[in-house]
Amino acid sequence: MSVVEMLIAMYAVSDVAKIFNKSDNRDRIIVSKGHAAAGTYCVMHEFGLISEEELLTYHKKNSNLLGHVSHGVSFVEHSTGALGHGLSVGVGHAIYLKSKKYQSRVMVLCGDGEIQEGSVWEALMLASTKKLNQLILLVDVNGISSIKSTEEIIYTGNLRDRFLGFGLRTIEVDGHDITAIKNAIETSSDAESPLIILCKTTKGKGVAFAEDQAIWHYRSLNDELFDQAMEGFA
Amino acid sequence: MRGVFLDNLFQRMEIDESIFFLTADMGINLVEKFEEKYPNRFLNVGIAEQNLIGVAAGLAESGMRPFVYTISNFLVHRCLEQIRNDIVIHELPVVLVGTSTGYDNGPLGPTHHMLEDWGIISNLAGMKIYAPFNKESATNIFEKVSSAVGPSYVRIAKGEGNRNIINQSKVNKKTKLVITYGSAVKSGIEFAESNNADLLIIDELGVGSFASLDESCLTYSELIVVEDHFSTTGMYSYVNQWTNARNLSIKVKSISPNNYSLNVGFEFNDFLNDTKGIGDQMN
Repeated sequence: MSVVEMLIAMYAVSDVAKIFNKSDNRDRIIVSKGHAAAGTYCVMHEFGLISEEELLTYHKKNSNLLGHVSHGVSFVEHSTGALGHGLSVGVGHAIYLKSKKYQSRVMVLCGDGEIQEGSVWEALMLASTKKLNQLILLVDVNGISSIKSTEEIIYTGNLRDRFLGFGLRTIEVDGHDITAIKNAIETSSDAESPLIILCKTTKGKGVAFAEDQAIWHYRSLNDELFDQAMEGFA
Repeated sequence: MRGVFLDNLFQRMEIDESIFFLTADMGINLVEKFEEKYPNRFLNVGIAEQNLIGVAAGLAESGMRPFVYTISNFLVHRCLEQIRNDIVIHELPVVLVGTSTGYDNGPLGPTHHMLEDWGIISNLAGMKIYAPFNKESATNIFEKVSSAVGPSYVRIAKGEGNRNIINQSKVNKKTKLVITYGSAVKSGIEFAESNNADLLIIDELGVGSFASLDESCLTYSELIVVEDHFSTTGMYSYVNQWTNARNLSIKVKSISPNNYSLNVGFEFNDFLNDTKGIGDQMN
């Protein structure tokens, strides 16, 4: 739930027709935190990239809509599920776009727990060195890692300072403010550096009984809890 | 063999603009010409192998054909998850070029012994695995991987390999057949000669090796695999799979390393020439 607005913003700033046509110069969206599949597929549906019929097969037998983001679903750029992969792949796409002198962007969404993976920082060092300003990393700063809060697992200090230290332009926004995220993305062409957007979010946003609780990484809704959750959105 | 493979690659980049060369800061005096002539299709990602694979995947998804170069142990062991998830699952035409095999780097210690690399890789469905044994073989393999539709791993041993050898050299029809590949070929030849056995050198490993184990192998009473790789996941295992699938009673024996070594200077030939070691394996 913490990434929904980030996903909406990424697709909203993109030329979805180019994604639909798989144009060589399309914007690329890579959801590195692949466990956000349900949210990703719902947003893709809203932008016309997944039919309602297919969406309703989510997590059912024989569906391509698995529990982690899969390239078995049309218009998904890359399958993810193990953390720390998406940014490197995004760097590859960004290098390609730059070599072709395309102006399109690569937007990678990852979690603030995910950035504990060393490969993320390998990718950032290269992206910074190569001045891949078409690369945008949106970090879902919900403060929760896998089983505990991020600060209880790995002290990340001031995230902004860490990214700045890698020579990366860094912006902090309210991760539930679609306009703010869109505006931040649109500044990516202003500088020579890749852009980091730290999106401050609340895990389980809008579902009172699940907000900010790591255990909801692992729980499923039963009928009663589903109704209770939906009341929060009424 | 490494130089021949890279020379082929360098020349092909002239006519195939989809080829992209990546290294993780390896290949001194070999890779510089790539950067000089093809700066837009060359990338040294630094000492960051996980990123190396991910970047290659992104380039391949964009329609490029990446050749990824570093020494085998940094390529395979550290990056297994990236190779599996980012390349193999996506069926991308990325060519992993790993140099040094077996005990090529024996004196550098067990972190540099390559005794299980292709066995690990062979578990990744769809990955082709090749091991050149001389310059001609390196060129032939280059031709295959440069037009492959899926991923490949090329395991290149140090040195020039063995001249004047063809794959199917089992012509004498003795009762024993030595099967070998890569840097073990020299030892395999010596072993075949001293044991009155015919010789089969293969350059495609894993399930791809089954094509080399043709009907002519059926007439032997004993197949002896000489390899610079653990037998459990090496060619010994695949030869056994091949005979089992045909319900054959041919004996399959292994001459292979069975552990890492902490001794400076230990190399494959030491193992092969160690009578006790061979005796242990053969009995």
